[in-house]
Amino acid sequence: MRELILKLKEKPDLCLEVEGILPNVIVEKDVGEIENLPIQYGNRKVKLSEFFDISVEKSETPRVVFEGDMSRVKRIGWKLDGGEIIVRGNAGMYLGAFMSNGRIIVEGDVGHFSALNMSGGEMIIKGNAGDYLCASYRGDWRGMSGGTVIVKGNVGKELGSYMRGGKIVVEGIADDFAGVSMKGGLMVINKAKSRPGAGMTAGSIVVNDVDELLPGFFEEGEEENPEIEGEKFEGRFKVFSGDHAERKAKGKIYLRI
Amino acid sequence: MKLILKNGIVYDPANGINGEKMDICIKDGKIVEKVRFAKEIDVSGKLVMPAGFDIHSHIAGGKVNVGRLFRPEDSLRRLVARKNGLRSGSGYSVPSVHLIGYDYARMGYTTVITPAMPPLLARHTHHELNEIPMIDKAAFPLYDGNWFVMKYISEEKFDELKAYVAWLLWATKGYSVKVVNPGGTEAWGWRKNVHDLDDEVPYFGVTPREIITSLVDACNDLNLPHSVHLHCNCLGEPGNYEITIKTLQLVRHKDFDGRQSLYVTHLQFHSYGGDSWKTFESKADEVAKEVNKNDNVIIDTGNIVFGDTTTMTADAPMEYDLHLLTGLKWVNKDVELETAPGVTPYIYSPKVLVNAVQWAVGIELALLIKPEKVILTTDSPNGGIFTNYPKVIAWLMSKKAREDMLAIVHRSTEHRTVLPTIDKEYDFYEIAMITRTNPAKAAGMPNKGHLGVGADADIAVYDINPLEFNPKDYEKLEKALSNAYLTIKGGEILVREGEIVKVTHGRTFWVDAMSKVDRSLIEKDLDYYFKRYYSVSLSNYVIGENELRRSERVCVS
Repeated sequence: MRELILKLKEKPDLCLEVEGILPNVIVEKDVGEIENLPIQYGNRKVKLSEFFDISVEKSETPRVVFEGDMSRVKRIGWKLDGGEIIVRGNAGMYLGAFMSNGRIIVEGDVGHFSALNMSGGEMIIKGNAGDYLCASYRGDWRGMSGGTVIVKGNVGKELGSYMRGGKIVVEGIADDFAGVSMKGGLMVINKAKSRPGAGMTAGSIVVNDVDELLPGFFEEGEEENPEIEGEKFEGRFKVFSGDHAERKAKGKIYLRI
Repeated sequence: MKLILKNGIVYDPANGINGEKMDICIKDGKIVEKVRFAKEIDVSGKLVMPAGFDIHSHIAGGKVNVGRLFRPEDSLRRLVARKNGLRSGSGYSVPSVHLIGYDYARMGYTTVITPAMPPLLARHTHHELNEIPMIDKAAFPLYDGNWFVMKYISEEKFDELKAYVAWLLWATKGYSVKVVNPGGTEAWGWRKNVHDLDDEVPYFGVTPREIITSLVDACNDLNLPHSVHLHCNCLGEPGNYEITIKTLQLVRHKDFDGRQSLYVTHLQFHSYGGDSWKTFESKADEVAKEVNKNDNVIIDTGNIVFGDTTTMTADAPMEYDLHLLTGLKWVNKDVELETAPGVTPYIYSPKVLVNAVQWAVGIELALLIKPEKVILTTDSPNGGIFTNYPKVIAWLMSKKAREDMLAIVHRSTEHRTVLPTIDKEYDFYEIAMITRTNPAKAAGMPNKGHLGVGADADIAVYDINPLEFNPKDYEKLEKALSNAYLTIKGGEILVREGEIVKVTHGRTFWVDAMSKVDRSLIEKDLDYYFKRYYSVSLSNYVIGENELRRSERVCVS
């Protein structure tokens, strides 16, 4: 097993798209082949070595490490199906989109549409995340179905829209419309701005503080140390059901008192 | 360019050629008796047929574009990069404009008709058709919810109706009269629908029965090449086979020399029994019986193929019901005085009994109705995208293919249908009929769909030996039909071994019947309606012939 270290030479003028640079892909290739892997730069294909310094080291698991400010590098870990990706810095849009297995760790901030339609694996973001984290692809009504995403910082709007399964933990603030049209899964948010769970029909949102709840949520009483989606939570929670603007809505919001 | 296709195994039902080894000579885009000093292509042991003709496939127009716009996730499912001079594109169930042309050519199809063009959106439709490469095309304008049509019918002004029918064909550069859920789309404006042939349309007071028979008479009187192209009432509702049979009976005695009087489209969606989704069953046998008895009707099947697709019809109330059923996103549109289309995604799942029955009904219809009255379609993309035709053909040609599918679908399917008891298997002659000869004949295009002398040199060659074909080996058939060995259109080779080698732009056919009517009869009404109700003026509504890339005017005699 080995680890591929990609150091960005300089911040590109246009966005790079590194679709296909995955741990399981590079494992069987020698350095020469890796240098020639195609990536997209604007509207043309370029070699990986044109923008990155490449080095290879031994490691326990197949791993790709990106070093430098990757905020203009899109599609890191697109369709990741195993292995590990570590980003030492910020990451661009579509980080870990459609990933089904493996692990992504980002030490900085990530762009919009990260963990889009995720179906498995793990993602840890130590900084902030953009809008549409864990959301469904534009237009799709079948969103994230599995996996875990942990964000230490804040997240943007429409976190986990159309989510069907899996778990999202936000330790900072989630912007408006977290869990919009949610149909399953668990979302744990420290603080949500207005209207979390708009149009949700199933699944649970656990939140310590919220700016504003929609009138579609009805108060159902209080619970002590509840078990939510198979997980134990400590403390007292106010329980809301909704969003009753939808037919047969069975979603739950747990608000910590 | 001169060409000879040597030693192919030819199926040409229009000329009674059934699997004969023969040469086909091509000169100046036409098929000729003999040709000298021509380029020879050896196609020995290969299947040679006239090029495919798809008479009912939604390939252009407002709905199709809406389908593209509101399904970005469908675009993501299929991305095609620019390659070998071909344009890039995307879209699985609603491919982008150029892909449609490429996909049809790869399957050996060279003529496609888009069957539902709202007259007000005709300009858009034609501009889209202009851009679709490879194929010849035509469009059927919609007449079902049209205020002029209903006004003239309710006032019993038949000459005015005829004049309007001809005028609208001329104004929109359309090919024939399409009728969708007659009366229903106008009733939808009042949040209603029609459920019987004698239900009245609000305000106009006409019934679906009157609309259908009047338009059939008008089409026959005008001697249009294609008849009324009808999408019956109550599409997709359990128990709708009764209204379908009643509709078919309307034209039992309306004989017309040379063609059918009524073309009923996607019959599969109209052949259901039962009174709810729980008792949903196939009534394909009853409907097939009526079609076989009735000499004035031709049908297309509208098979479904399992998978994710985008449904789009000019039948808005039906699309709304479907949206309520699935809870998925939905688009509705009201086209001023004319019609009301809708679009919604749908997933046909083999594990859902209703879908499994629908799948069986489509195949039953094709097997139970005489092959000379059947046309193969999937009502693309409503039943499934047109690239699935080879799959449907495999089901028709191979009992084993059907049995393999029956093993996968919902267990109760065999109790709700008669499919497991049918042993018939289509042969290549009959397949050539239902995908080539019949549609060309029904559409009234005498130069298409056959390989007789004088026909357009539109030919498809597939890399499969029909004389050695074993129905059990249906996967090979599917593969061969999906990638034509040769597609020749107008004497030019467009596809070679599944790869496109030349990009051309086909003609757009339209019918001019103005010589048979007196336009002055409707002049006053046109002025009044356009001034008072339409959002465009009359002069901007009419499409000039110069707006078509390659116009092919068909004059009615």
